[in-house]
Order: sequence, then C-alpha cells, then structure tokens
Amino acid sequence: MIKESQLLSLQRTRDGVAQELRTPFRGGRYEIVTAGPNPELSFIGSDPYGTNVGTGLVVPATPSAAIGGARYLMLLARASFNASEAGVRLVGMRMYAEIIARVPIGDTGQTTVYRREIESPIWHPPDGDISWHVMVINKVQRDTRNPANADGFIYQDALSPALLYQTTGPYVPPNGGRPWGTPLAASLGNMHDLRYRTRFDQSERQLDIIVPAGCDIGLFVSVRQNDPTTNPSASGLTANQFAALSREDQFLTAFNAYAQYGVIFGALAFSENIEYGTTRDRNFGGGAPEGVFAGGSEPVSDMQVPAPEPTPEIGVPPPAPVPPPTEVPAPAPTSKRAA
Amino acid sequence: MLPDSRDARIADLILTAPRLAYGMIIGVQRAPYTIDIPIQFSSSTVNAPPVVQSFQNNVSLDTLIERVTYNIDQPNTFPGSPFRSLYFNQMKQSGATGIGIQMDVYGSPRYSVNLTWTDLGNLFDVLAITWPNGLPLPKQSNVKLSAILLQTPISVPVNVLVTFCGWQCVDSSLDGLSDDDARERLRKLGFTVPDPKVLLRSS
Repeated sequence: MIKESQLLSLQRTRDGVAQELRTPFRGGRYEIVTAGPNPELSFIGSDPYGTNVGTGLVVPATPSAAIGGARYLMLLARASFNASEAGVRLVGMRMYAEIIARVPIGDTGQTTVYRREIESPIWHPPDGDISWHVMVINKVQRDTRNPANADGFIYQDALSPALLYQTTGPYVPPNGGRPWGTPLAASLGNMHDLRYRTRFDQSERQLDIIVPAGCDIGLFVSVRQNDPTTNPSASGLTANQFAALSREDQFLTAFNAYAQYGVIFGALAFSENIEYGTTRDRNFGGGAPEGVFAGGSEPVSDMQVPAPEPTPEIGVPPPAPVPPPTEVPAPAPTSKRAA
Repeated sequence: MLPDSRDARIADLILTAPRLAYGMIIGVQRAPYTIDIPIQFSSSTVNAPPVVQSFQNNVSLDTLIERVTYNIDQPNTFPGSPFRSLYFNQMKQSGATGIGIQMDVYGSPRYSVNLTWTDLGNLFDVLAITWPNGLPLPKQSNVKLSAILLQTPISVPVNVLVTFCGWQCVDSSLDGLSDDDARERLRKLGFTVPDPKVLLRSS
C-alpha cells in the first residue's frame, strides 16, 4: 500500500524538487498587526501607495453614553487555518491603546492632536473601558456586503481589521456587541487589561497555544468610548497632587475636555512550522514526520560514518592535552553613570 | 496518444485523477458543482496581512474543476456613474486587478499553486495551462486563497467572489474505489496506466 505522504516526501529528498525549499506550508513565525484608515493621515498619506492607513483602528469619537451605551466592536486581527493545517500555535500577542486629545485651533475648524500611550495595564478613564477577546471562529462564510460599508467599517463581520456594525446612525454593534466565536482558551477569551504589552521584546514567546485546525482565530476588542465631559479636571488639583498622578491621569486631567480613546491595535503571533526541520534533519536524522525515508537508497548521515583512525606520524609527538579553561572572575559591577 | 480530444483528455486524467477518468469512461452520472470563495478587503492597506478564505466545507467527492471565474465589486467606486460598469469591465479585461492571490490546495496531496502573489486576473490562467483537462480535487480537499492588495483601490471595501466551476461523479460505488483500484480497472479496459509503486518501496 502506497502512502501519499511517501509520494510527497519524495519531493524533499536529495535532489528532489522541493529540497531545502521554503514553502507556505513551512510558514515559520509571523505576526498579524492591525492596520486601518486613520483620517489624520488623509492629507499627508502614510505610505508610498498613497493611502491613509495607519497602524491600528481609530475608536469613533461619539461617546458610548450618547448611543445608548453601545460598545464599539472591532476586529483587530484575524488568521485563517484550514482543516489540514494542524500544528499551528498561537505564540504571542500584543495590545496597544492610547488616549487622544483633539484640541480645536481657534475657529479654524482644525484640530491639534495629542496622544498618550496607556502604559498602566488596568488604567481606564472614568467613563470608558476596553475588553479584549481572542476567539475561535468556525469557518463560516458570512455575507458582509452592505451599502453602508466603508473603509475599515464593515457589516457584522470582517476578514481583516474593521469596526463592525449592525446598524449605523446610531451605531449598533453586531451580535449584541459580543465577539463572534468561542474563546480560544479561558484566559484569553475576555481580558480587561493590557496584559500583553506592545513594547515587550519577547512577545512572540509568551504563549504556546495549539490552534484547533480548521478555524479562524480572531482578536476582537470591545470599547466603551468615554464621554469627555465626565473626565476629572486638573484645575481642582494642587501641583503636588498633579505630579503624583500617573501619566495617563495627568493627560486625562490636563486635556479633560477632549481626552478619549484614540487608536487601538492588537497583534497575534503564530508559529506555523508544520513541516518542521530541514531536509537534512528529515532525511538524515531519522525523525521525518511521515515516517521512514521514502525514496531510493537510504543515504547515510555524515555523522554516522565512522571517522577514519588518525594515522600516527612518526617523529611527531602527539599534541599536549588542552588544559581546562581557567575560571575568570567576572568583573566587578561598576556604575556607568559614576564614570 | 489517442487521437480524439476526449480520449486525450481521459488519457491525461488517468495520470492525475484515475477515479474520475474511470468514471468518465464507464459513464457514471456527473453533476455540475460550483464552489464560491468570497473575499472582502475592509481597508485599503497595500501589502497588508492577507485576507484568507477557503471553501466553507471540504469537497465531499472527487471534483474536477474546469474553470475559475471571479468578479470584483467596489460599491463605493464611482457610485451612480454611467461609466461604473465600464470601469469594472476594463479592470477585468486588463487582467490587472491589483489583487494578489496565493492559492494553496489542502488535503492529500497538499501543495501550493503559487508561492508568491499573483494577480487575480492572471492566476487562473495557471489552471488552464497546467491542468488543461481540469484541476482534480480529491475528496476532502479544500482550497485556500490568501489575498492582498497590490495596488491602492479606488475605494474600499473591495468585494471579490471567486467561483470554482466543475463537476463530480455522483455515485457511491465510484466514491468507494481507491486510486489503485481505478488504475487496475483501467488497465483491464486496455489503457496504459503507469504504476507509482515502481517508484516507492512499499511499506
């Protein structure tokens, strides 16, 4: 009985058509980051393709309190895996949120934009908050066509980053404001803090969650946009009190008339080494995932070939044994600042 | 090579899809089969992480895809203009849609049709050239399309509907055949059928 996997593995044998070839099935590690339209970039453009795209999605300025308490439901990142794509792992994620102040310039109708990254994981303005949801979505094909669709604003569900809506004017989120799908893992289904930081340099090594094959993985965010009129003012604070505030609170109180949630982005990192190992590992290491080596005569690893005995050279003494390395004491820590 | 074009076609299918070739020869009833893959870009980001879509379900029977068609709609592009349809028509005619597609076939065997982004308007010529007698999809296969924007669209969203047009043999007895069984029966009928066993060491 011939296994089709044997036919496939023929491709990766020595001189096979796919020897050492990187293919989409060996995707390695990659990260999906939110990108969407940002009106701030409309005039200046954001890339050589002439678009107004920026990292993240802009939370609409209309406070949730003004639209019946509706929370904005956004899809930040989405990846799709086929039923045959077993072995994919969610290995990391990142979260970013900021507060923004759009301060009008006199009567010109223009605004100056100031922004502050939210660094404290559980900080939120008095009238707003964010929840994050990593969801497993069945492979369904939802018809998202709608005349009201616009850039980054899509009916019910989207395949790429977008603010999702059920109805517009006033905004109503789809699915009662709840993200589609079921939680990937209990701790990732409903997060209320920025626990996976944007600037963490090991973000792609934080998690190791096996993705169930044949599904989409989506990172949703549900935002209650705050009403700036509920922001506390800095005018009631002494200088010492203001100095004692967190940076986010300083921004919020300093720009209390305008401070709102601005851009939010999230990222999912996946590791997709489905056909793990190199051709050399597979052919010579004996650990080919498909089992035995499939084609032709089985090559012998260089490592398995017994090394020839060194022929003694007459008159030349054998080299002296190398002494073990001397333990070098670590240098005493010195303050660079003191120098 | 058999002279008749239909016979040449069967000779080709014997190599790539012996069960389907056998079904054609013995006259198993065939039924047309179409599968859609809808793709929607929600943002005009060029070279963004791809939008990925597949068949909603794996194909349940061996399927021969004869042709792939597509349509593109940008509802916010030139709304109300009498030349709107001309724009979409010309875009499709030119073959330069600005939409890059990478196509993977999942199942057994599993392979990629193209490793880099090919324009949607040109990709499916690959099928006509490399599978002139149809792209065979064994049962339980699926096709995954990853799509990115290669050019800035005039407006977003961009809705793309890719339709795979083909047929299946609708008979459970043919469904139960293995490829080896089909090859053996074809040999009994007098066809020349290569045997991949000579390449492989049977386990």
